[in-house]
Amino acid sequence: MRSALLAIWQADSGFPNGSFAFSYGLEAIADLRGKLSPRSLADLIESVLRQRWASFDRVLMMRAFRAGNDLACLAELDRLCEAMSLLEPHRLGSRRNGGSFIAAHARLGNPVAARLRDAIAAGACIGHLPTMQGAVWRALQFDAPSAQLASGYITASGMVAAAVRLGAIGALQAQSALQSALPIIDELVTNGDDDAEPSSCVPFVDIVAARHMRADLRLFAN
Amino acid sequence: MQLVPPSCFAPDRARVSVARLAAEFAGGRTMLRRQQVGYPWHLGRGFHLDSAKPDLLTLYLQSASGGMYAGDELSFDVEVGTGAALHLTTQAATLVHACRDAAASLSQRVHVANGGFAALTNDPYILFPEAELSLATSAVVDSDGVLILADGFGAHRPARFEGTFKRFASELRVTRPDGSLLLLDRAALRGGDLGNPYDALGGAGAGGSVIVIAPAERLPAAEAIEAAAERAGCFAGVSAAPNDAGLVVRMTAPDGGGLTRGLTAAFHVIAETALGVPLAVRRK
Repeated sequence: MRSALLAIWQADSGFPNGSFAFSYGLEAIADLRGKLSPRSLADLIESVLRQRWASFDRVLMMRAFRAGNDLACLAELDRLCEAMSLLEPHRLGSRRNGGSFIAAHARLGNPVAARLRDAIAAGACIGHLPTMQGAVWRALQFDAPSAQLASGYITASGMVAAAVRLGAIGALQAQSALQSALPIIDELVTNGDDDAEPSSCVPFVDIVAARHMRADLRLFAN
Repeated sequence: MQLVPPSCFAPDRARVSVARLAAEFAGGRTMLRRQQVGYPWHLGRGFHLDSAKPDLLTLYLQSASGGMYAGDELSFDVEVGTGAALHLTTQAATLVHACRDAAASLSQRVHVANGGFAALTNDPYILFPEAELSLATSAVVDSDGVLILADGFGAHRPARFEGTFKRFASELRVTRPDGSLLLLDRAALRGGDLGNPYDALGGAGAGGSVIVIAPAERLPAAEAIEAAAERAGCFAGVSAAPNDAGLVVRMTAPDGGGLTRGLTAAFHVIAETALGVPLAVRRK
């Protein structure tokens, strides 16, 4: 029960983890294709969950979760995340998001977060979001399934929130897309291979994010 | 009467082939110092096509077998020595046939020495229904070497066939000679995950990448690559690679033919900046 409550707390959009500044490529996709239907937003979220989150963010987060407070291991995971984030908007977004996440938890008095914040400041860690989430959530005594559910839900709800704020879809229609993502997250967590090598295959999102980064006018960081 | 299956029903042993090339700068131009290329590949004679870059050796790699088949285990090692310049390209797209339960695989190892230039530009792999292909490339690039890697895939369903490809997987690991990791690009996609306008390829029929490892002063502007790809009918995005390694180009196209044109256009923009001169058209 406690782990479920922790997951709800961390997945709540009111938690100041910096994710409100990131659109996961949605701003560029809305620029390119205009309004989104509930079906198209649901399809996009499913692509990101299956082809990026489940195989990359989730896998790295779970490695960090298992590493716990082992700073050398977390630093190595950070370097791997950096080398595997080929597109600059993903790379910078993950760093900035991870930095905001760790700063919030450090201010809340989490000692692991404070140690990681110092390690980032000293250059020992880079501070990518999946690494930071795994380490802090382990310290907060999440269980592994709850940590993955929180991570998956934050990804899906972040895309939905961005779509609504961009006016690409109505608030209620967006919730329909988010609802359809829930069984997918459940399936991916249930069947996920934590020992898999991380991989990512979202060329369409990569392309729009790369082009968006040089846009003159944009609301979101990525 | 008991029917005995003919011997040709027995599963074939997988094809295992290892090829090696070593290019060196000698006598004012790049020459092949070592060439070990066997079936299913055929390597044409070398060309020096570029009057503005006469030392650049261009080689066309052909498949004598009609493509890749179930269980194929092919590997290719390419060594480009100090100051040498090599462009290795395929003569055409590579067909990947139905693989039943044995994926076809290709592993490449590339080393680019100081001052070397290596471009390995593959036309796309054309994935037939039930095709399963795994690519693994490991590259070591010295700090002032240049490496351009271009490849991709397109799904193809001939008339009277059903379904789509089974899986396409790709891994590219680029390091410096001291072993430090510059980038690791690992991707896997099942054909069944495609099929709507917001899938991993954004509804396109083909997708590819160009990875450029080069010093910053030898990289073109991202906009120039994107514009060239667009003129070829493709949709491309260009980004700085991690660890100041160079550039990453992602590209989608309506089909494999379109992707070939886009990758070729991107290659010429990148090579012109990296070498300081425009390259001639590579006729195929």
